[in-house]
Amino acid sequence: MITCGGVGVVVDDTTLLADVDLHVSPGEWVCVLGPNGAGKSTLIRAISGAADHLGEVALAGRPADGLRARERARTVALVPQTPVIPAGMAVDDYLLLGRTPHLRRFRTESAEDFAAVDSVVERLHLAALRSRPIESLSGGERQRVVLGLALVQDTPLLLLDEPTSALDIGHQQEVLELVDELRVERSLTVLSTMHDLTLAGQYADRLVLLAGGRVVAEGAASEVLTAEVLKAHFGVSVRIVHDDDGLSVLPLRRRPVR
Amino acid sequence: MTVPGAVRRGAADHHDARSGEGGESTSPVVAAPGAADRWDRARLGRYGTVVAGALALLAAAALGTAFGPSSQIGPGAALIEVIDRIPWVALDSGLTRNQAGTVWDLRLPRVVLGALIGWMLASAGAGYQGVFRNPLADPYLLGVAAGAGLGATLVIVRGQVGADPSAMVPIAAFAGAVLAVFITYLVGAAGDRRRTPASLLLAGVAVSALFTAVQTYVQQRNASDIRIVYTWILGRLSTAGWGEVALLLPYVALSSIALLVYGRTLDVMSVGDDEARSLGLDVDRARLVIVIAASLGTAGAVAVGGLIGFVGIIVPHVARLLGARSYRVLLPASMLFGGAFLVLADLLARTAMAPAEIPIGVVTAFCGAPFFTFLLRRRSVGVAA
Repeated sequence: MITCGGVGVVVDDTTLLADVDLHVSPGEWVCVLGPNGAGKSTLIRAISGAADHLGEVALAGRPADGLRARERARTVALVPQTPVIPAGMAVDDYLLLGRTPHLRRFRTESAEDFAAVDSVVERLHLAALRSRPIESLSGGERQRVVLGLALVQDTPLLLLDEPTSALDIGHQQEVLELVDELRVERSLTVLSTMHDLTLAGQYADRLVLLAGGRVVAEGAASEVLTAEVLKAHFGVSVRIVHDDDGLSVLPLRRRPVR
Repeated sequence: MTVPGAVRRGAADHHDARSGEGGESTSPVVAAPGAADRWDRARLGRYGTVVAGALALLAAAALGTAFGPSSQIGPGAALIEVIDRIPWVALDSGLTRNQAGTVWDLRLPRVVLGALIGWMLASAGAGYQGVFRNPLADPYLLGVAAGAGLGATLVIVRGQVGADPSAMVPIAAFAGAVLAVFITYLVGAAGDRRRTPASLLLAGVAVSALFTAVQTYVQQRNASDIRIVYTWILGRLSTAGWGEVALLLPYVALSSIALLVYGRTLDVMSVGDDEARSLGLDVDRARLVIVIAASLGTAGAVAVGGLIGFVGIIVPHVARLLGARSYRVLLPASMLFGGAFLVLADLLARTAMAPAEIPIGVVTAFCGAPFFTFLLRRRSVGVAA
């Protein structure tokens, strides 16, 4: 469960995020949408503890401010938008870093930690890749490894910042399906940001639309993804196509007058 | 995943390998015995680099002890003389009392000092590279060199007035080095910002430039001492007995312990500040501890050995080339290879043009610069930037 009350982020007198109220129920997947610069990543950073913020953030029912760094890291895991891939590091060693919040200070990993990595490797079909340097992997494989790090961390809450931004359409779907399966298997609570409105509508239980650092719309896909709302906040003309599988957002080209 | 089938096949192979080793478990959650073996094997393989480093240091120390300017002392006899000193070992080296004294009080302390300085500079370099996620970081980056240079220069040019200047130089160099890093650290957080690798590196550049400017000015005003100042800056391991070793040892010991303890932390920091924080690491504190440990040790090494370049930057890369990936391996490997490298460099410095000595900093740079160029041409080498 993630709860934000009046969360704001101000950097150098610029307000990136103001007065955001947000609630993600246990087991729910909420997706944050918004144009570039709306504050999506800032919200994720505030919740993960990477950015200083105003207001209250509660994680799994406890105020985040009161959590020690290690406790927080056992509660919430983050998959960043552009993860730093350490040069030459093998998949195994990278995944093992996810056990950091579970290790006693200055201790090394135990059999339990190795088993946690093994189980994630199995689940994400990484066995054939585990000794390879991460840099040598394709974009889709790399995204699974980065997701794997968060799973090894073994937290009830998962934050995903643009998990599919670098992937082609097939791998986008594959990663999102995987997240959805894991959410059910491990009863994870997921908060993600996403650029692709149609995909967001297909996978998330609920959508939150940010614009200018504020929540401007919230609810089911059919409530948030409307031509009027998207026109107002993205400045685009779209047609919403409803069919048996849900809704799709179809951008319309404004033909120049010649 | 490019071809789903290919990955599935890989997963199946993994299962086969496990059951082949006698494990019946096919459950993905429980660690099969085969899986545990796999981790053990991986860990043993990595420590091979450390074992190689220990052997290299031992060999270098033996060479450094065996060879010296005195032609009366045979290489074998010098080694036997040292081994004879090990408790419960009694060997006759056949050396005279005087010759034995030469080996024990001149050659050996110099070998040990070289090993300590190389050990310290290389591990500090590895620590800096990790903490700044920058493959080009070396232990002088935050102003240690410029600060020590200024401190030493000030004492040397005032040497005629005060007490014994040679005793004061290490102290002044140490103080200058510590002061420079301290200022860098303060400046690195100017404007209430978080210290980032970039802000600290830039502060280091600024502080180094300032200290170097003052040092150059002082040096120009006292041109008669330029030769002494340069001799110090180029580095030397001239010792008289075990005094310098005793002076340096506590710093190296403390710094090494701190760095080794933070090996895993450095691995975590390699995934970036934000992610390391989300893994529960206090990044700012870890960076502070590692910088303090590496800088204090470096200041000690510089105080007794002068500004010996290139050890701190190339040795960690050599250790990486030899297979050290995790900082838990890279740090001890850098210590051992760094010690070995500097002992060999010093051997070259004192024998190549005997009885004259080449400044050791010249030797390390002469060997280091071409090698460094070679490294820069290899894109595969480096740490995450």
